[in-house]
Amino acid sequence: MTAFDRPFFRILTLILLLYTLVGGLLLPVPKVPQLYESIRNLYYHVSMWFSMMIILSISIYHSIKYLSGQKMEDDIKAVEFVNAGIILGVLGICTGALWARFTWGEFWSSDPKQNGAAVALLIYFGYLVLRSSITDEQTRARVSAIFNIFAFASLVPLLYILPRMVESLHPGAEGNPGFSEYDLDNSMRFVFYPSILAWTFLFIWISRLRIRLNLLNQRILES
Amino acid sequence: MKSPILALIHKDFLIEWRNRVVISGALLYTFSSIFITYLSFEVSTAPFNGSTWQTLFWVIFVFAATNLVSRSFFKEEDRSKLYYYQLSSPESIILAKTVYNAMVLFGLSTLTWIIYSLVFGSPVVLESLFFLILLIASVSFASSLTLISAISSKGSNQSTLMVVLGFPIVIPQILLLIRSTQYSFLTSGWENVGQSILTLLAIDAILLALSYMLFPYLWRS
Repeated sequence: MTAFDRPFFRILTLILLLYTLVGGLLLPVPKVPQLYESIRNLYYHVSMWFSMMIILSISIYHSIKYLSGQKMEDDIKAVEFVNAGIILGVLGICTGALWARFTWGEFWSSDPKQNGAAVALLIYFGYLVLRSSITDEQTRARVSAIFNIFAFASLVPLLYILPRMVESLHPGAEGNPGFSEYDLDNSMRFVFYPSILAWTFLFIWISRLRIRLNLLNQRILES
Repeated sequence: MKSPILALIHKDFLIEWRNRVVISGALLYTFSSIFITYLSFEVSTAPFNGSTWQTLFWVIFVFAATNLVSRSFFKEEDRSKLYYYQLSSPESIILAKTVYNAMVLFGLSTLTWIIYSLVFGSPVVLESLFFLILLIASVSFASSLTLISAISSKGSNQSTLMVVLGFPIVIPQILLLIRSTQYSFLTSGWENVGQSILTLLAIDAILLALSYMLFPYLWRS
């Protein structure tokens, strides 16, 4: 039982989600040419991508913890956070493709960040394939923890360094900080930051449920 | 007394020299890929432009490199592996394997370049720059794929795993290599290629350091 399993946390998550949905759709937004009302997707696409990176970092933390402590509990946590991260990644790609359709003209514009996102998903699908190809539990936990750390290290340059070296349709290319054009308007921050928390908390909630279920299953198998 | 890393590299070359399966297999693999593309593309009527030339070159080399590196931890799955692990530390084993792979890949890439240029011609203006890029490519693929080959040797379907896990990892490196290769087509290439090469070397350093730190956990069982 951690703080994330308590009712208070769930109520907070629900309030934040409700605020993101209602405030995100109804609160005033700046009129940016070409984006218009689609700028509201910032609260969904961008914040889902942010929370995916947070969730995946939590998974890396548990993988490192597994390697130093060899507790099966940490392996279960690592894989469930990867699962949550994959769902967030798919949602982030879909919302991004919709946004791209109405601002850039195509669902897939071969933008470096779009391609990077696709590679990120390939890496984590590979992680799941790797897990299913090893039958021994200890070996599976150890090997997949190692791959998780190694793959994340190669993902970071792909997502954060390479797109800045080439032309990108995304804001933040060519060395500019990511959100300068949205930061001009402070009103969006009041929904944007809570929306990151909302998606992160929702997926921590989901992962915690799955982790507790798996821990119980493991306990039944052991007894 | 030689250092353990040098001894291990020497051992790998000796084993390879005895049966010559892996390297000759990789060479044949490359040459047949080049021949297939030569037959499919009808270059005599429509010669390649630079972009097609380098894309095909790197695709062929990446497949050959993945195939070659995937054998690093393949042939020692028996008792001899345990013997090496008792004699030397895991850190020196992964370093020796990476250096060995980098050396073999460099030889393979140079031969690939020669044959490929004979068949398709070559838009490369700065040969020395392209040679340097081949060296860096070999080091890059060795540093990323050696640990992946160790990881996939633990799974039940090694060759599929090698591709599924290895390709997404090498994508950032391939993108940077392709960017650098474009500069070798220009006479002013040396002035602008620095950023790509430095980024590539930084990625290699990170992956190499991680392989060094993570490999001891992989073989401890």
